Amino acid sequence: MNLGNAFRNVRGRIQYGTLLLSVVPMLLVGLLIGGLAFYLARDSLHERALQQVVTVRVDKTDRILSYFNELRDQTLLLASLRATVDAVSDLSAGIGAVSAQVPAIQSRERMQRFYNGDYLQEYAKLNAGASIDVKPFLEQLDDTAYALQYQYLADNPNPLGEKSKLKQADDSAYGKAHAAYHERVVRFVTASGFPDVVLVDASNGRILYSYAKRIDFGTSLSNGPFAKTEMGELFRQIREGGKPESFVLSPTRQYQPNFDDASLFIGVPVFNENRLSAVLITQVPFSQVNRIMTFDSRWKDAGLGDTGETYLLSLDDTLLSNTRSLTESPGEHSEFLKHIGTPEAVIKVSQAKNSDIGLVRVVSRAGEAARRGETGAFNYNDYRGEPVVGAFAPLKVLERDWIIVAKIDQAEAFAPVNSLLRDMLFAGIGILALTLLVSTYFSNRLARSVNGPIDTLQSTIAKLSAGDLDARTRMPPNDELGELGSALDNLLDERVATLAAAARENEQLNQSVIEIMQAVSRLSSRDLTVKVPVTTDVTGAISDALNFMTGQTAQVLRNVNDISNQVAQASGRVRERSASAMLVAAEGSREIEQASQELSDAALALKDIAGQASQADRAAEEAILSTREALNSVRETVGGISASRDLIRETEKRIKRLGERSQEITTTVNIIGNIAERTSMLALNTSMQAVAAGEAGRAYAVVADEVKRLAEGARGATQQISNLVSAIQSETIDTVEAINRAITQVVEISKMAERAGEQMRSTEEKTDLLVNSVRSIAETTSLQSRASDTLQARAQQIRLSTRQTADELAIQANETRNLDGYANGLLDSVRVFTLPAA
Amino acid sequence: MSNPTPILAAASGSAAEPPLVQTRNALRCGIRLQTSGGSLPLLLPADRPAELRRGMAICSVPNVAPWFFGMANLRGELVPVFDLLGYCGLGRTTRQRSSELLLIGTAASAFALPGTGEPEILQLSEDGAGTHTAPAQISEFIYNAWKGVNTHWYDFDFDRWLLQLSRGENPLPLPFSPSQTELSS
Repeated sequence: MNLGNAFRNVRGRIQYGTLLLSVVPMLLVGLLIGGLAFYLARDSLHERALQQVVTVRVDKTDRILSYFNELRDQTLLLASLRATVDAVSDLSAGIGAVSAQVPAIQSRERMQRFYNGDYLQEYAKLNAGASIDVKPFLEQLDDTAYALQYQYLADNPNPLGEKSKLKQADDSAYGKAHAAYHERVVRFVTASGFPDVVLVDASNGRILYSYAKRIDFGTSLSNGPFAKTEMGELFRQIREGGKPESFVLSPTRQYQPNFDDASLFIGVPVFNENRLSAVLITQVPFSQVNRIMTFDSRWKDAGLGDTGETYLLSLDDTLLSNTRSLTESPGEHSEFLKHIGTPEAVIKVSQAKNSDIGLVRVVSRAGEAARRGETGAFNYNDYRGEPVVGAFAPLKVLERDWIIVAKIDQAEAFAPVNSLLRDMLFAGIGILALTLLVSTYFSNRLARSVNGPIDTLQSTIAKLSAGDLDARTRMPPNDELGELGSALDNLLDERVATLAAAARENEQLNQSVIEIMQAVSRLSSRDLTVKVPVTTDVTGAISDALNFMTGQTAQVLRNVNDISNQVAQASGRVRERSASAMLVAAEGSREIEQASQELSDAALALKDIAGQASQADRAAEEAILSTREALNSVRETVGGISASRDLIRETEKRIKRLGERSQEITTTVNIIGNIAERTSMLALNTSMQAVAAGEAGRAYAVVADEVKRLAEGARGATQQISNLVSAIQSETIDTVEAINRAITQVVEISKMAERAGEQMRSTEEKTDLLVNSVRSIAETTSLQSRASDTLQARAQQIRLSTRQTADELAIQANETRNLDGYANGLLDSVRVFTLPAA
Repeated sequence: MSNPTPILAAASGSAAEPPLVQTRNALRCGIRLQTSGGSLPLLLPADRPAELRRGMAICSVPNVAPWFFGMANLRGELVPVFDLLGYCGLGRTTRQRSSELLLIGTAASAFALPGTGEPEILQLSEDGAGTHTAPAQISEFIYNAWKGVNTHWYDFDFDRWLLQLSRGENPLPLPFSPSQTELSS
């Protein structure tokens, strides 16, 4: 149901209004309380999370400091032992003779095999397949180092990582001193967990003893291959400033003899009767540091849930302990390393070593704050970009500055708040639904109690509107609405009685009006016999007036009818007279028309004859003139033909002489042609002679060729002339024959012209007679034509008068017909009325 | 009447050596002999004068080969008239008592060919042509060929041909027999 529609009636307003009044305050109160509770709980949890990470950080700080102090103390203790002091003396005394006892060729091969084999294989394994060039190391080994490494590394039958199992390589003084000291160191390492213990001769930097036996064994930290490493730097610091009970913690760096693993060393001096005899260096076990920082991989048990962790950083943000993700999900850890921009090579090495220490840099606000010397806890996005609650602090470990961070993801820290919010939401929805249900029931009941009487009133009014005047509410007057219904019923009874009386009066009046309208309707159909009933009401006067008007109109129309009949009868008689007069006039007009036509035809015939006679007269005169001119022409022609005949005869003689001349031309042309032929032949032969003469005759050949061409041109021209002369002769013969035929014809024509002249003279005489006769006919015909014209003019006058009379009679007949029509129209107009009998 | 010694090879007297090849672009005289299969264009010897004469009377010689038409009188010298086409079997020239003759050579070494028409003065083209297109009957006498307009002009070794005539290497012997001295000179 649409809420807008629901509020359009009283029931809806009552029902939904009461519902809203009960639910909305409750909802608002619920939301307010819920929101307040949520924020209070969130703050409380946030505070608790901060306290938790701070507690963890403080705890880890204490433990790390305590552990490193313990390592330092153990190192100092070992350095202060008499056995160490003696071992330095013994080892340094015996080390010089070691090289002499080692076979050179055998050791060289064995060392090469060790470095290029075992060492590089292990290096590649721990560095993702990477390799290094070991040749420089080997080349920098002096004889002593070479001999020591051969005995305790290359020739050591134990595998890499277990080289410390060799106690004594030979029976030399060094071997014995090594065996004696090694026993003590093994016990020491087993108790403390140091990966390596190194004794360095303070005088020359040579590593006299090494527990782990790496490739720095026997080398000098002053000038050997590893002098520039962190261990070399540590040695130099101790040698230069070492005092009893002093110590130095090196930075964490990758150390090549340790397969480039991140390494951290503690160095302490060894004094022999107040003289610095050696430097004792121990390697810090990062496994133990990791175990402390990672709770031995039991973060959950430590209260850090699924995301909490602690880690150590150097000041350049390099990790000094492993992250939780490396331990729990190495795959995701690699992706994370890519995400923070770690180079691919470093990621591979990290995977190979299963360690982040000294390799991975993580940057966060916590690290930055701690680097500035701040200690605290706040919310921030950690190195993964995840929002965390973290605690941080700078950490000074054996005088070296580090950073410690403890953190937990906000999502986990605030998980109870979300749970609380969810529970509150579900509870609120349930309470709201229950409240809605109860409120709906009661509001419905309330709406029904008010809406029932209103519906009754509404339906009663609807029935009345539909014309049901008997409709009543019949509501008991129990309350205000009941009394309203009773009052409405009484009012309706009174009004219905009044309306019935008025209806009866209206009915009667309507009847009178209908009767008047019926009478008017019959009047409109021209029935003047109608009588409207005269009643006593207001329509009685109207009916009476209508009856009087109808009677008067009928009387007037009867009079009009009589007069019209008389007019029609008079018009009929006039029309008959006009018709007979018109017939007579028409007959006369036709007779006159015919007579006039006949006169006109006769006049035309006479005019025609007169015209033709005149034309004949002129033609006859022209004929006489023409005949005379023709006669003269014939005479002149006869003379001309005679002259032509003489001229043609003279022409014939000349043409014959021309033919004779052309014969002479032919002879001459033949001579010329013969000369051209000979010239051509001569030129050809000359050309051939020139060709035979070779290059010398080339110019001569050109001339001969030109001469030949000229001769051929002359021969061609001669031939053309000959052809032309032949054509002229042929044409001359044909011309002479044609002239002879022309002379014959001219003689014939001359004779014919003379005969024509005689006949023309005879024709001239006969034509004179004919002209005189025609002239007489023309004059007579002209006189008759003029008389006929006069007669025709008079007939035309009579015809016009007759036609005018006929026209006048036609107009009169037409007018008479119109008068008759008017009378009939008047009768027809009156006849449409039904008149009462007179 | 002088001794008719028309066959004089180009001074060397050795018929085996063909005449020197004419250099290109040189002017040459050529004739077109009308064979039964068309025309046969031949170049006249380059180093020997030629002359065309009309109305020359040919005096027939009895009991000779049909290709030997007879002798003609050229300014007091008797000149043999040979039908080259008839000799080579490429056709036959109509024999007439008075006809047009092409006289090749001078004095005693002259000979005549009938029915050659007017010789053409030619300039040899840059490009030579193969002699293999020459008719087989005369191929042994053709030593060079040149491209002309729509045709090939063949250098005919008249000396060799005349030498062959003189040696009797033909169906019928010649009516004269040149001396060995003349041949060698």
